[in-house]
Amino acid sequence: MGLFPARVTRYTSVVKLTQPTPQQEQADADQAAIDRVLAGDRNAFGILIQRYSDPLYRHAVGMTGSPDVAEDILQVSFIKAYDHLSEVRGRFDAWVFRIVANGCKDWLKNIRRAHLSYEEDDQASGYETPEEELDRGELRSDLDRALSALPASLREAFVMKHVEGRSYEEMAVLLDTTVGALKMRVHRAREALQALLEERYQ
Amino acid sequence: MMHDKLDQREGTEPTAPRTQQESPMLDQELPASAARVSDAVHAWLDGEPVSEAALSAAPREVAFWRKVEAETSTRRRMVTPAHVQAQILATLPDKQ
Repeated sequence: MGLFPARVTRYTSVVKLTQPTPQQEQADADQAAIDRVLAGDRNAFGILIQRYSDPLYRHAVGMTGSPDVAEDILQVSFIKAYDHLSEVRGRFDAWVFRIVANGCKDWLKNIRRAHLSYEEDDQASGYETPEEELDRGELRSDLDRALSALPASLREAFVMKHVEGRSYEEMAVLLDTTVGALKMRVHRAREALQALLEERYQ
Repeated sequence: MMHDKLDQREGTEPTAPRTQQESPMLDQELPASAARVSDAVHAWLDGEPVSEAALSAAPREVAFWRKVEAETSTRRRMVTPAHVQAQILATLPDKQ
């Protein structure tokens, strides 16, 4: 008699453990779409585009500071993903994220940036009051400029944490690194950004 | 709660701001003279529980990061322009 409840409890916990997680369900749905594409249903790729384009677009805009460039990177990346779809191993979202992230880094590496010193550009804005000075539009462009002054790895970490709103754990999966390393990158990015912007905004 | 102290650069001289990055820098390099962001503010920004008392010790930092957070949360709502998805789909070749 006394053993039966224990068995029930044990059985219940096994059932709980074998329930698919939302991530697993998502991965299964991705794989189903991939299988359809590989079987010749080109339109099934639209499911994957629709599912992941927004976070990837935000990442590309955050990294490049340009919606136009972000669109180009997204387009090239998705076409690359489509061409190499049979090579996906593991999570599609992490795989396609890496394609986009590498596209952003390549763009940053290749672009010849205009010579821009924050100090040289840090001229009086012409606003009369501190309230005007803190105008959102101004902060937006200042933040873009400050982000562009960061090394790619720090900018990437800051954008993923603060713009994309990802957890450190999710970032660690996508970037294939540790939570500790990412925390350090985000913290250093904050310190650099605060140094660049504090004179005007603090 | 507070996290471990991660910044090992305390006491170092600020470096001159970099004006041009031809390639991504190594993580060990600094982009510019870095400000000291208090541990409480880092923890708060990381979504960890932080006491009001700890945050009130850094009111200007908190105000600054609230402004940045307001801007970044606007960016978080950005969506892909509708034509981009259609463009990508139209460009795809047929699979063999």
